[in-house]
Amino acid sequence: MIATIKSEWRKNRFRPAFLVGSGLMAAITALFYSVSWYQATHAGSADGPVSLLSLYPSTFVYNAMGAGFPLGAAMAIVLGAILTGSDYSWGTVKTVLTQGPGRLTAWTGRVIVFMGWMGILTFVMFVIGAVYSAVIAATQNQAVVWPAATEIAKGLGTMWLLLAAFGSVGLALGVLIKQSAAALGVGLVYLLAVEILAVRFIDGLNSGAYKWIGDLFIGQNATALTQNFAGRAATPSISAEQAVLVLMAYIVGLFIVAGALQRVRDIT
Amino acid sequence: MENTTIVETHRLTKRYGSGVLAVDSVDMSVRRGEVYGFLGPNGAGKTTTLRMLVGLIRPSSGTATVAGHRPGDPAGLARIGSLIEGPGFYPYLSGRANLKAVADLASVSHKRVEEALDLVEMTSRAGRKFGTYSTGMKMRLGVAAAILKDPELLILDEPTNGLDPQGMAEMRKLIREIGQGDRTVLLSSHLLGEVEQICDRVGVISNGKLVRQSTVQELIGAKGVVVKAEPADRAGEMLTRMFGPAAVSREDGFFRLKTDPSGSLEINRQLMGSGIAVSELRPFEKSLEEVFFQLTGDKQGS
Repeated sequence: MIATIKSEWRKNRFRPAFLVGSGLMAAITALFYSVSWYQATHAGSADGPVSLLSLYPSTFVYNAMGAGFPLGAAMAIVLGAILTGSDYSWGTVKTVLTQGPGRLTAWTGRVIVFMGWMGILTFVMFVIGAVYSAVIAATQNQAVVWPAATEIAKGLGTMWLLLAAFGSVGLALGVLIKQSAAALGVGLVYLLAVEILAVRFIDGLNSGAYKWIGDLFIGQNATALTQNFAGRAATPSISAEQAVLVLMAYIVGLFIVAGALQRVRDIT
Repeated sequence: MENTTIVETHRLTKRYGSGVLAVDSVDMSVRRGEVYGFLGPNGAGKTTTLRMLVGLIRPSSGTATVAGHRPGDPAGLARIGSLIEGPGFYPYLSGRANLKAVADLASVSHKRVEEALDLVEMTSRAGRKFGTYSTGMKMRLGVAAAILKDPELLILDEPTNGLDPQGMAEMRKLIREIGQGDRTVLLSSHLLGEVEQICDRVGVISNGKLVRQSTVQELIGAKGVVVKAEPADRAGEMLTRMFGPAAVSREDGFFRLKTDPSGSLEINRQLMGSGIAVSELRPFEKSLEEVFFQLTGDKQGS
């Protein structure tokens, strides 16, 4: 297993997709702060006033999470689909599977390294958010007051969980479709359209009698978790604990399903 | 007693879900230390068979033992190097970084990476990204990856595909070098000249069936002499008396004699001495190409 993780890390540590993905998430976080700062300091802004208080370091955890979902989720799907799908288009899957480690070992090593990259993405977004919020506070002559360490840790864990869950969707789609472009396309369409329509349809059935099914969708739980974290509850039927459990179930379930597919399929 | 075969298959069969029978009851045997050529036209089932041997494809039925293990067994894969249907590497990594990633997977020292690069003469170009390599360089890197483990068995699937004549010659030389000593090389190809030049034994596969397995010499058959003489009836009687009925056959007005061509002078003297006019007398040897077309049922030149 160590050998597989070592190899996967060697292949993916400088992978352009991951480097660009990290850069994009950093840029999106910075852009979020830049636009909000502009709006807060320009009263005539079309989108209405933004309170400067909401941009100070004490709230950076929620702001970083706001930049990270759903855009971070979309990025995680793309990266997951690229990681597994391109292995089939480049023919590297046969190189990997003929070296010695078993198929499940190879798959597990790959997923571990991917989850590590989701951690890096999370860290990048939080660092950019923290730095930017400190810069705003400093320019406004405000004292820099950071959130409690436990809140930062909780925020990091939450964001990682979101990226890992959506990344798992990308990983599984890449394995299923055996091609990165189609896999990431399907993943993004699901995230941005299919789930929203499906949940709306299910919630409207029989006066909401099947809402519990809609509450099991990945996006619903991700939304509930981020909003719950901010002290708001747009989807009160999903508690933070349930959201965490459902997202973890997605990660484990998709890992098992895609791993099983990888294990039994013919590599043609 | 040491097992002399390194690859043994018994009624190995692959039928895809679509109903296509890609490999049909193949009984194949590759001996340790030999260079075995796996010959067949495109689509005959060569790559599918090789994929089954390295565990990439599961057989529908039949069994195979490769390097003492079932195909795909990690312990067996540790003793096998393979290049199946072209090299598969990451285009954004250098050749060297790709090999190091393969070495990590195979638990092989990075020192071995440099040795393999040196063997395939890629050291000076190993720092370039794989995506910028020519076809020949990609193939060489594929061979380097295959020999990283210093394997007992090297499986190379059409390693000269896409190469220019010079590249093909260099690859043949490389395969000969790699195949020296105790290492077994299982080489698939549809290029007959390549197989004839490199291989000790060959297996010919056609429409998924292994139609022949023997040494190249056995496959080509014995050398002989072709004679055209008049009157043909008397010439036939004379030649049958000289060599026996089993050694003489008649085809398109020519007699084909299974005999050493060095005896041509004596044949000519005896026929002429009997008043038989000889208009043509020459040695013949079947080419591997002729045999291949006979075995696979393909029309020559098509």
